Amino acid sequence: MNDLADQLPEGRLSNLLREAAERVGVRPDIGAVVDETTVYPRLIERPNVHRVPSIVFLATASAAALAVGLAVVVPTVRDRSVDPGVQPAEVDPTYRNHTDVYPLLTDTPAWAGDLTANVLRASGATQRRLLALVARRGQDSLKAPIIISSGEPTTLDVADGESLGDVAGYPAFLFGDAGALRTVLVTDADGAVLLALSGLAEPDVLVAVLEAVTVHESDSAPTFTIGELPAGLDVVVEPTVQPRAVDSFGIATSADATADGTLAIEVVTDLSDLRFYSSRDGAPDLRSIFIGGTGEQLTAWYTMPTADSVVLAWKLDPGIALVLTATRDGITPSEAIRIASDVVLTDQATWSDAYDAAAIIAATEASD
Amino acid sequence: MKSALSCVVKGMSMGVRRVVDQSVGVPPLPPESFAEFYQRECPRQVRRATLILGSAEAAHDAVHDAFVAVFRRWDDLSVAGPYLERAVLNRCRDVGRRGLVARRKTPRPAADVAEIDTPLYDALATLPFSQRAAVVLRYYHQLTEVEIAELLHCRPGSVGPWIQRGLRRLRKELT
Repeated sequence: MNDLADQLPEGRLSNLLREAAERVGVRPDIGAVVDETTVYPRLIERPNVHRVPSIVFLATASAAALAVGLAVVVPTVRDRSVDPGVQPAEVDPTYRNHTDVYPLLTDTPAWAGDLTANVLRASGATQRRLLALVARRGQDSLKAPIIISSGEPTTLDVADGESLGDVAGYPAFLFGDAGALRTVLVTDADGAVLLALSGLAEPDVLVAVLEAVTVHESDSAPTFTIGELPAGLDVVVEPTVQPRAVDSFGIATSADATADGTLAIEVVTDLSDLRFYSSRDGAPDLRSIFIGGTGEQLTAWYTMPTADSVVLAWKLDPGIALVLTATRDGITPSEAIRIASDVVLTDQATWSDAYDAAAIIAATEASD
Repeated sequence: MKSALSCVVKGMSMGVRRVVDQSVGVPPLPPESFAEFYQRECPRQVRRATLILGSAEAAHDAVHDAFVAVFRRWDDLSVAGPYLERAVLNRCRDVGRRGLVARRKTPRPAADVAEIDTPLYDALATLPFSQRAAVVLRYYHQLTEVEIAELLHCRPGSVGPWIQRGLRRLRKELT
């Protein structure tokens, strides 16, 4: 327990919140919901502004062609062919999807408090997904990397986004605040998400990157290729098909613990490049660091999203990546790496004993 | 962008649409109507949104808009609870984004929230949205970090730091 905990115990906070909530006067009005939906519908479905010009153009071009007896050739801004002719890199066939490895920290720092077990479900990430990474290359780092993805599940709803109008012929919607992770979703005419771009970047940068991307719609899943990027930006990871996700396991500081910091370590097996893990929640810059070992284990990637947190991704075994997120006043990458060196992979029984994970395992097995 | 890995959600109000299954011998449960769903979910959503937004009026608006979105998709949603939960939180995030500056300049409307709770709401208002939402979900709704991560569209590892920072700030503001 630290001093702060004595000043506002968590049980007291729960009571304060509950008492305040009970004093809220609720005014249910289902009639307004139904009326608004059926009589005065809001603009949930965005206008398909890019389709109208296409239709108008096609009709105009057809009429003109009939008039002069020529074949109609309709130019398109973006290639929407089923087979783009450019196939993205497939998953490394030697890649192993691990479902039976569990992270164990042999020496937990006192400031991290008690660690509890958790499971990360693969639900929704089992279809064909394509990811790429673009960034500015600094002297010794990648600046504000942007992940471009298709087929990646998202809980963002375009109805909640800020419409950017059409970008390169597609409706685009912006999510996120200044200084935080921003995401642009690109949809087809029916509102289905085709593409997502996310990173710690200004909207105009995301739009400029999007304009360099060509979406290839298909009957199965959309893919994309990257053309000429704005000056200073490079393709760091070419569009690559990602491994199918599987359930995996992690450990993290309990929210109930009154520790001086928090620590989370997750086994992750669904992305092909460590840099995706290090930048997916937003990275001001991404740096590589030597951590020892052999082959793929040699290099870890880390970022410090804020002054007091470090996100580190590394491989402990080929095909098994781990992500460590540490938050503490004065935390350094070196300290995160020292903690990472104490992570070992273990079996379910040992993990369950160490983190009292029987309930987590039972819930996972019950849902399979 | 949502992480490729999403998290297990347990103990959450799922709002399961009970579908009549003619193939089983036991009498099936009747499908839940939208009215039943609304009646069950509205009070808790409004109360939680009020804690997050610091305004009962804004909370009613956010919850109302979320229910409109659910109603539009009611026939397509096999499980409406999680959709509603995320829709309310997304709208709270948007309302907070638009309203923070205005709130700083404008006094809280009379009787918008109970006067005796004003210090709590003022303290919560000092937290960024992610910390405020995580604290409310943890200590009001008693959700786990994994459940909170699912609702806030982030990795479980992010939730702990948010809660801890939020608690530190609240302790400073409330003591």
